[in-house]
Amino acid sequence: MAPTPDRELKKGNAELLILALLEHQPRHGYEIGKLIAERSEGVVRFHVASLYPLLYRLERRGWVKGAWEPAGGRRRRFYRLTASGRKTLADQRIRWRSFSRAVNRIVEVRYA
Amino acid sequence: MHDWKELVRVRLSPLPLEPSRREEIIEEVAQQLEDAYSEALAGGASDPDALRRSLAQFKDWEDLRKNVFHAVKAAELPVWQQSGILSPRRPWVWTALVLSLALFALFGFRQALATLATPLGSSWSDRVFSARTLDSIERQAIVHADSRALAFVALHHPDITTAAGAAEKAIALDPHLTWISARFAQAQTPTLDPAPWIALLKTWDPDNAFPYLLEADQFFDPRSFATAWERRGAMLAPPHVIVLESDFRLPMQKAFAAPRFDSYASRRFDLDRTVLQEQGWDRPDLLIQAVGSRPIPNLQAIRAYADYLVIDLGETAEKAGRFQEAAAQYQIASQFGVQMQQASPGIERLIAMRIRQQSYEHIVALLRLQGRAEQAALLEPSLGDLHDAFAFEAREYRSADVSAGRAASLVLFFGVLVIALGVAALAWLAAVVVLCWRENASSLFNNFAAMAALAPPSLFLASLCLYGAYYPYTRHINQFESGEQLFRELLPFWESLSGQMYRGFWLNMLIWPTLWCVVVAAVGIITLRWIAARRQSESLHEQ
Repeated sequence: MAPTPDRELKKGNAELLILALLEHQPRHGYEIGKLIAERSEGVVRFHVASLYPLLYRLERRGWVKGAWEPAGGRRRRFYRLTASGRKTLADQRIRWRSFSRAVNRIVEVRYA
Repeated sequence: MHDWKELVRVRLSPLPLEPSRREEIIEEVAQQLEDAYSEALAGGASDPDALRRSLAQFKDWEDLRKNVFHAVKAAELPVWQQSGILSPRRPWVWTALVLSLALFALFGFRQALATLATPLGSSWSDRVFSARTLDSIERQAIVHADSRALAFVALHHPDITTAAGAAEKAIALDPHLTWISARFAQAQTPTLDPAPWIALLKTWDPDNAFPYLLEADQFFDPRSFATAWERRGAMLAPPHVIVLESDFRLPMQKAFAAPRFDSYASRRFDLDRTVLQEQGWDRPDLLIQAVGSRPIPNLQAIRAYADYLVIDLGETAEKAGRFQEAAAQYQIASQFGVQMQQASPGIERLIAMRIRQQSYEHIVALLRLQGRAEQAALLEPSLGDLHDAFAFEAREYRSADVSAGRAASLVLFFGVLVIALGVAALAWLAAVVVLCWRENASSLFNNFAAMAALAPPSLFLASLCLYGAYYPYTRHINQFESGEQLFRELLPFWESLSGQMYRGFWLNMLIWPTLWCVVVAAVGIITLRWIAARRQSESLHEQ
């Protein structure tokens, strides 16, 4: 059974996950939630009640922009990265890589 | 087909955002529900099961509503728009507040709160019977020629000169009140000479032992507390040393020979109770304080003189074979003990019982020595009764102290809670009223109103507990028939209460820690808000 990620870790990196998913194409909320669960193979699951407030917060900060677009015979609200969001994503990604490398260096040490 | 938007609209209302933005959010959340529902149906779920699974995504709609508003507006949801169990929109919060106020209709609750208003860290009595209050009573009493009110002022005014003036007026109006002169016999001030007051009392009540006891007390110079303590060392000396002083011996002789004993406790109780009621102070603690400040003769001096009669005179005569003289001395002490026991409450009665015991033991021994065993046998049951009564009263005092101490601690604890929560509830009420008037008046108000919403129901619960803890001691002062009953039923409780105040219970155990917590919490909240604001401004700057 895959370990459940620490709640704080998830909370702290929720913005990074969403920004990363929007890097190459706009997506709507339902799709974002599904993708996070799928790509993490069920390890990371976003409670939907947290996802939408998070999207609205990112939108208020100007990191993403939501717009209604037709999809599947109805309109849906798609979120895309803004320039500011891209810069934030880049910064957060650097921080994450640095952090995860540091953690790996500690936990992956093998003793001869 | 389910009307998903309506379903979400109902659950997210009210959401105080711009109408267009609100509709967008409702539509978006509705699509989330619809997608989950469709996916569940496609997976083979039944309609009710698919609906249940879809709705299960949002377990707490109130939480979602708050989070959405906070995410969009970067502010807490206005308190009047919240629907949580502690929201001001919930009737039960107001019901709790109204019930808390309704408790004021209960006499016992009002009395408990009045008790807690006793000034912190000060004497239990001084501020209650303040010069200002008593001056006001005196003015009214002079206008209405109210001798009892004047006598009350005379008994309790902190300024002895003013008190003496009031006493003169009261006695002039009603000579039956001359007994109030006893107060001035123990005046501890150089500005008043007790001698004329003692003389007046002896003239008015010549058959009473009490004025003579007060006169004998002058030997110990009550006008100077320090000197009184120093001279009290003389009380440790054998009785025959003290009685060499005629200033002490002669009035004590008259006191022990007097046909009756009346410390005016009963008259004083009646007067204090009546005037307190007339003034609207229906509080047993005030009555205890009023009655408790009555002059008590020096009990050590009484014991010393009784010892002198029984041991120095009686035993000496007995050893010398002057049995009749010895019996007379024992009889004088015994007779005085009987009179004092009948007329005295509390510790004075215990002292009187001790004097009786001592003289009875000597009388019984003397009778046996004289070969009058039958008469001795007749007295022995009385002696046994005295032993039992003394042991019972002493034991009763001790057991009352323990339970009263616990009750006093509870009353103090819940009392402080009620005061703190009452202040919080009032602040909550003010914030809620302001926010009702202007919804966006202040985010600080809004946050405080949301946090302090627990105050009204907590206040009600704490008030109930205070009422319950104090209930056994709730009394109207006219329910007491005597000072003895008042002291027996309530004194241990009040002594515990005031004792805990003196021991700094209020300040050390409750008030200061509470204030420190409030200060630390306030500093913490301000710091966190400052950090949050700084981080927000930095992130905006980075954009």
